[in-house]
Amino acid sequence: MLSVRNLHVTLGNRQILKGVDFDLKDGESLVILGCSGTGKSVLLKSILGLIPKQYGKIVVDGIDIDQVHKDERSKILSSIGMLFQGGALFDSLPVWENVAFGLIYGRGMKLQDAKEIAIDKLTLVDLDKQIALLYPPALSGGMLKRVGLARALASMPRIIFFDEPTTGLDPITSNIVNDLIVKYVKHSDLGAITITHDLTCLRKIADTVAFLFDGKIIWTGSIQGMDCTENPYVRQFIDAIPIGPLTTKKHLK
Amino acid sequence: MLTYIGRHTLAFCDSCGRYIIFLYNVFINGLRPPYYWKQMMCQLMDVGFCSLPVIGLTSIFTGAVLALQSYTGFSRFSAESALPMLVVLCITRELGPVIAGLMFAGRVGATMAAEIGTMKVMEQIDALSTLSTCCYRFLYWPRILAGLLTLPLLVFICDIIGVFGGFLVSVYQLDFNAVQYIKMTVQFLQAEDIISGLIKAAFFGLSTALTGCFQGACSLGGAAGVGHATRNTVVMSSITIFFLNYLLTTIIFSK
Ligand SMILES: Nc1ncnc2c1ncn2[C@@H]1O[C@H](COP(=O)(O)OP(=O)(O)OP(=O)(O)O)[C@@H](O)[C@H]1O
Ligand SMILES: [Mg+2]
Repeated sequence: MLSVRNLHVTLGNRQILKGVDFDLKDGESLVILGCSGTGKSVLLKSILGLIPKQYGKIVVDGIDIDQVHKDERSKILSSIGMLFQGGALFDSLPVWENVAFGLIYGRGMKLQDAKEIAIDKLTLVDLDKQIALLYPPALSGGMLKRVGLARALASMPRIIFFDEPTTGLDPITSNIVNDLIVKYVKHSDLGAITITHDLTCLRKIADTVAFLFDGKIIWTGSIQGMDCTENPYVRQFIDAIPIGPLTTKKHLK
Repeated sequence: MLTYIGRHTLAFCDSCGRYIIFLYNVFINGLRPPYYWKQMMCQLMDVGFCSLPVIGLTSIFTGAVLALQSYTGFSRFSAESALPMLVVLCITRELGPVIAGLMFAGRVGATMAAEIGTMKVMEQIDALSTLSTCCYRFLYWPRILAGLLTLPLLVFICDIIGVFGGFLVSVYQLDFNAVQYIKMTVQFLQAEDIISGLIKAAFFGLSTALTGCFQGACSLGGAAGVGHATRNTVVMSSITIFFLNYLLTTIIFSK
């Protein structure tokens, strides 16, 4: 349903992505691994058009999004939901309006209907009704992530991106978030791309694993494949060895 | 030295280009539906109504000081009777729009830059577009419209308050006759004086709001970036106000 071909992104005068290729099939859950600063967040944002790409092809459901009109493109991209690394909730709006934002302002739904859907989604992510009236600064990190998840789910996306859904949460909360992701991704035909450094999370939610290094996807495979791979980069990452090809001087610079 | 000049010239051209693209996007997107009425009302309220106390206070003191100072000057060649006329002309044509514009830049422009800049660095603007909402329509257009519409209104109210400030000082401190003072004020005032001030105000409001939104939208990298954007907004919109003031005065006079 989503394919990315030869994606190049340059920010400032640094080339961050140097030709990323991957495919996401219907209902597949792809997890992208990689060291901090390799451009994982940049990859997701450039697919969504939030960061301009240098060149490369992005195809959603067989449509090359650069070949269609701007309005058509934003319609296609609106079928992709995203949970941002920092949550990115709107501080000036109460939680329920955050969740219902896409419905109210993007689709022009009535306030009351949208509020009902929002409260519905909040219960789906195990959040209380009372929380709906609070403002984001009053929430804890785990709650923010769950509200972000509810917001991403509320507009019924077909593909959903999770940028580090469990980073900074305690093991129990991150397990709850993982279970929620499994519930919505594995047991539905939603396609998902997740970025994570959390190997428990990875084992729970991944169908396919892709490893991003030096601006390219250097390895793709299943979890079983990952456990017995000989690829030195992947080995170093999952075994968390401080010295190895990922951390040679050249890349520390 | 040469590289220094070159780099800064390039940076200047770069930001001019981005500003023009921003302008284009704001107007292309803002003029098309959907319109977010609730956002517009909120901004009109926040930008316009809530600025009234600050701007009103500045203008009453400006009027008062103007009356005192010009009285000293005029009394040297016994032309005190021209004081009401001077006060009203200065306030409506010049001081009202400029002082209100500067206060507006400090209060509203800085708020806009800080608010939008924070949204930008917290990825909230990115989040907007993933929720199929255009940031130009939802965030910038209501603010820019509010700037354009409210500053002339504020300046109009300011004119009245400023003249009143001058009146208070003249009557209670300088022993002018109240009726005479009002008569003189009204007699010399022409519609053109007020309208030229309001036209200036519309330009000042528009440029301040545009600068605030643009700087906010361009801010990079955390709290320092937002601080930069806010400072740049206040500095740039103040300078723009003085520049536009000169330009518009020249144009209006030459007619
Ligand atoms: N707007 C930007 N302008 C310039 N450089 C940027 C910008 N955004 C990100 N970068 C750079 O791109 C690189 C990749 O950033 P990115 O946020 O994608 O890393 P990441 O892989 O998501 O890391 P993490 O796991 O820590 O989130 C970083 O080195 C960063 O300095
Ligand atoms: Mg990241």
